[in-house]
Amino acid sequence: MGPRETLPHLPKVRDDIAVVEIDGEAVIYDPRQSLLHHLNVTAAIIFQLCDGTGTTWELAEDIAEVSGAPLDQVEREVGDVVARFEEMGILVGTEKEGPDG
Amino acid sequence: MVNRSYALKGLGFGVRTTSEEFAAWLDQALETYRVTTEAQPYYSIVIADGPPTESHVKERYHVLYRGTLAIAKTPDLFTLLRTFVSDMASFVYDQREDAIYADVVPVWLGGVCGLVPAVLIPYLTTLGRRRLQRSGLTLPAETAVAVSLDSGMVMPMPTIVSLASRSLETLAGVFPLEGQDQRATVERPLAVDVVLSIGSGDEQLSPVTKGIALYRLASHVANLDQLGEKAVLGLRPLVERARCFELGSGTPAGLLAGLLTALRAS
Repeated sequence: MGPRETLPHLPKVRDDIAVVEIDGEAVIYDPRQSLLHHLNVTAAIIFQLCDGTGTTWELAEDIAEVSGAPLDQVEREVGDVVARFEEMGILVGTEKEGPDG
Repeated sequence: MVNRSYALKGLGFGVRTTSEEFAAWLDQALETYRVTTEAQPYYSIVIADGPPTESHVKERYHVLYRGTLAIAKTPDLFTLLRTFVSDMASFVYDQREDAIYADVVPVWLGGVCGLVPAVLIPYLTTLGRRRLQRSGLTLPAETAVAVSLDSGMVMPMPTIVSLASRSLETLAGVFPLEGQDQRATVERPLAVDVVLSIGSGDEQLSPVTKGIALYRLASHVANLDQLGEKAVLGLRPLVERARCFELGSGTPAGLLAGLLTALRAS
């Protein structure tokens, strides 16, 4: 099974993740792991849409509608970014242990 | 070699120095922080005392080491002390909430101020003081900055480590403070014109987005756990006002060239 199939059905960013936007990009702070992450413009948009109300396919559909980009390309990008969010542990249900265990 | 042990807010550290006289001066100047429990040496201070030799015909340097890294090499003992006291204060930055404390430092060229990772300074000083003087670059005496949580301005460092009163006058009586070193400290709120980080590319200097600059700058914050989101929010206006570049990893000469180009372009 590839990573896509394991993605959360309705990706939702954890409530305790702090986000600071700058020029369309974002810096997020995960207090549980004491980690900072940088999100480029695309990732920052997807981050904002990960509110637990849509599937990755629906997020891709929303973005494709606004941007005019081909849906299959956007879907691939959204899948990659959500998979990355999952690896980072910033989505509900993907939390990682903090530095103190 | 003479060893002394001190503690700041319960964190112990050792200082060793080549000079008996300087150790005696430290005993008096840092009396408040002296502890009897022996701590591992963290700082080493080489004092250029004793009679001049053939190899000392020009200037003689005092050197402050943190571990094995020479964080100050200067003919001016007063400058070395400012760096020493500033670096000692870093032991407690992670406990503070009054400002954003980060191990980045300002450098100046003409009226332009750049903010660089503090680790860059020891590498630049390997180029020699005269070469740096010729470049027109002014280096900092301190090893970190305090950034206002409200304005994103670099602020004068609050006094965290206090030397005993009149200890500097006493020092001048023990060692002639005749060396000249034009290192600067932040004396008033300071806007930063250029934010520089270290990249992994081959280019001597490349622009980076403000998002990357903010992320890298926030990675230097010592009290990030204490402040959380407030630290990143506090740094945002500083980055928004500045031009943002990364220096390629390379030789000290390449880093200096990249740094000068960034400051001249601003």
